[in-house]
Amino acid sequence: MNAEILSAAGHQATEKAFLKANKAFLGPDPEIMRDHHLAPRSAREEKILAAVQDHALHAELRLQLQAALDETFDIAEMTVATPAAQCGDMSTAIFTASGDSTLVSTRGVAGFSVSLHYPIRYIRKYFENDPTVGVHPGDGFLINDCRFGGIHSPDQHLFMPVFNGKELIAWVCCAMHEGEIGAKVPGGMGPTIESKWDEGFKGSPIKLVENYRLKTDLVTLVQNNSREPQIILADLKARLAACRRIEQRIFDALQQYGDDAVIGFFRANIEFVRDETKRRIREMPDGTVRVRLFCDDTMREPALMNSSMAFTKKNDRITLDLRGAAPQFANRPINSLRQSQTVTLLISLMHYVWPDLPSCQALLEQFDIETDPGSFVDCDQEVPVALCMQPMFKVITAAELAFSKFYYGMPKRYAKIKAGWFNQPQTIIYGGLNQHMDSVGNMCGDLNGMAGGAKCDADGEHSLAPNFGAYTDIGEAEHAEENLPFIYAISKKIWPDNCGFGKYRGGSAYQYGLMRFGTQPFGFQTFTGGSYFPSTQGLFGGYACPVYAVARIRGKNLLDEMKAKPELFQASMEYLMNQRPFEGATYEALPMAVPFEFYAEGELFMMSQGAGGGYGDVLERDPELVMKDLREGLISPETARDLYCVAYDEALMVVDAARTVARRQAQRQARKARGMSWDEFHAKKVKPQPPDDILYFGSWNKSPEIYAGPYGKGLPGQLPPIYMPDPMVVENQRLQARVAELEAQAGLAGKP
Amino acid sequence: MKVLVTEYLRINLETEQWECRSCNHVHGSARENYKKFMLIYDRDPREIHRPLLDPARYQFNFSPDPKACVIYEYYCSSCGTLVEAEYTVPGHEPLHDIEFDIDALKAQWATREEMREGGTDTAGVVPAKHASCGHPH
Ligand SMILES: [Zn+2]
Repeated sequence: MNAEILSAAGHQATEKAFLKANKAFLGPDPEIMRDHHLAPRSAREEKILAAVQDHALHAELRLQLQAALDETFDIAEMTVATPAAQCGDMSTAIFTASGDSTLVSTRGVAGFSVSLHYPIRYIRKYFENDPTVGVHPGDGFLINDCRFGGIHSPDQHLFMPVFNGKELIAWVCCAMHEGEIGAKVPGGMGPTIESKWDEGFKGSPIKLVENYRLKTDLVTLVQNNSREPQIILADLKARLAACRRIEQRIFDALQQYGDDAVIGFFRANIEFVRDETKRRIREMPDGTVRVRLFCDDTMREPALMNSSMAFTKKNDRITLDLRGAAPQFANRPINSLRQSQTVTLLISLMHYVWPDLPSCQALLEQFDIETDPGSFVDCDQEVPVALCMQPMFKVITAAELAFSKFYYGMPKRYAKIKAGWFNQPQTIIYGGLNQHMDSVGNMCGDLNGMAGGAKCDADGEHSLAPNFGAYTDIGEAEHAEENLPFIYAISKKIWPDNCGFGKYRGGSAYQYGLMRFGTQPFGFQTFTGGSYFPSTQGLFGGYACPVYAVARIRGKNLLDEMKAKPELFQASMEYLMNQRPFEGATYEALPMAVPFEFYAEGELFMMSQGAGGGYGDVLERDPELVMKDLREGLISPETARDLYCVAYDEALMVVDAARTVARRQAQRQARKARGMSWDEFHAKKVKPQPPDDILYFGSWNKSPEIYAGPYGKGLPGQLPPIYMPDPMVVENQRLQARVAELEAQAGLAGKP
Repeated sequence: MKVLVTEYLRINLETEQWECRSCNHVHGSARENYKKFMLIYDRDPREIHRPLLDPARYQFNFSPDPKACVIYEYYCSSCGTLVEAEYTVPGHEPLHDIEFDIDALKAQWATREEMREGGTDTAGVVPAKHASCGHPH
């Protein structure tokens, strides 16, 4: 009897071992992907760090290797061909042998590379001991599918292991937004991506480089999956050159300082950052700060999707709680993976909370993340994630605002308290044939022109940098016009009231418009939200950014019209849309997610970059600053008069100080007169469920149930997959019903 | 000991009360949501964010949709200062945004000096004087 049981158990173990060794598909590994924490010290690191460490030497190594990363960043930035990376949307980094980032280039987007321990762990777990792959000196691995790590799939990252003799001692990486990956629509991002299989090339980690040389067969495979094959090749070479240079700089350091010093430093730097964040978190007040944010567009239809978050700090740990978020959508691209939220939390910490610390994964070591699996912030592997930036960028904003509230009254702060940076990747994606008849599909660098949030003692900066990267560029209009069949008919024009109002105002942002030039097939799309509900938020009474729209003029060749009558055109979206100077053209304003379409010559596609949130009470803004805003075209006279309550001579633009004081005092009295008590407000305004005239997803008033738009509500994990109907079908049904109604009225019902 | 919490709020640790930093009004218990002691107004977001495009012609005109968005404005009941502007969905309950552990706060501030101003960075621009260990040398 016992022998039988033993043999059955033995059989089971054999079966288990067989299945483990013979996996039919080595897909993304949840064990790796759901763990944002550092690897334990390796035996080698343990041995080195057990001895007394020379911290001055570590400081020297940090500066030297940081300089090497900035040097390689410059090399790659100057040699890449893809427009995003030319605008600084790239990063270089060094990792420990286990894959934890230890140093990241100062410039560019640290978020690209800082969390790439995921694919390194994957390579080490599955490929290192596989004789058909292996990890050797001179190897390079490419990855782009964010299900294996990284922000989103248009980003392509190249890694190289670094060996000291036979010992693997580090990894280096050059990461960047490549853009074109052969998705359903150009640029790898777009509203109409409705399936994982619409997302284009899904690069699991593949060994594209051997003996420091790109493998032609695999390079051709990657190129064959892109609308921009030449750019793919140029950028692979740039990444390889960057990785080789970092490797060389590590070799130099090994020679200069010895392997114990260098390997010890890699780990010691991480542990220093971890310990310092532990100390800083302990200084913060214990408690919870909550931030309420909503995504407002599934990219195909308006919907409010709860993206609220709570940060709870206790002793030296912080929990980010994302539970109650909207459920995942089976056929909409705005789902995001759990690891995406940790990357954006890290981005916020690096840029807005502790910018003085080295950028590395260790900044997250004291954080725990709670999510509802199956929600749009912790989606499964099968749903599309091409526009995961929608929910994940909300984490950047939530952390900015939450840490501002934790830190405001602290004796020591490591960054200035400020309102939310703008947080939508608001750009135009183009695709088609250019004037050189090359196939192209990529994004305008204007994506990086987001405005900064107002600070506790100063206004926010205009169109300075994206919220996800501190040191980038927005590109040159002329450079784009040389390579692409359009002109910037409106370029970088600030417009009034596009800033978060407050005692200090958020930065303003510019509008721009692309006019098609040439007759080859070429088109545009956009892919952001924030058309119904403001996307970023103000702080301490400051107002948010406004909402945004795409405006377009079609059906006429405006270039021809302007040739005859140049005076018809003014470089202003509001002038063109409100005055409609071109007779016979169609004028449309659309939400910010506009599916890809081809545009004919002389058609105009316009949009605006977004503003930063405001800080503090508008009535406390210095009236002279209000006048300055007015003179600079940042606000309208209505805003100066009605919102800031400034009295001034309109002809001379001189403030009437006494009348301003009186007007502001009257406004304070008016506020007190119209404000309701907590109880009255609850009785009159608070409702037990979401409004029924909008599609609402996520929890409502702390409800344990998740609302799921047309699918009712249910507990997390118990909802059916959310399939949204095709908007064209919905519109068709509406029109058919209308036709039937009109036919009935006309007595034509039932007639052919 | 008074601990600054926002541009307009502080907590008096002795009395355990929220106080207004503009007019010194005592709002109420620091163990509760400060919003309970404010006057609240639900503002139509179009009053703050005016349309750029003609709303008669364009539904999407750069002004928020009042069906989807409302601004809860919280005023000091004494001086009328706008303490917080909360963007939310019409009908949603107010957010309890700041919930500090008052006992822990008292313990933390027992050895700290009171501050008069908050907000700006105090780490300064001087490079950190410590290396990897985190301790000064
Ligand atoms: Zn007051």
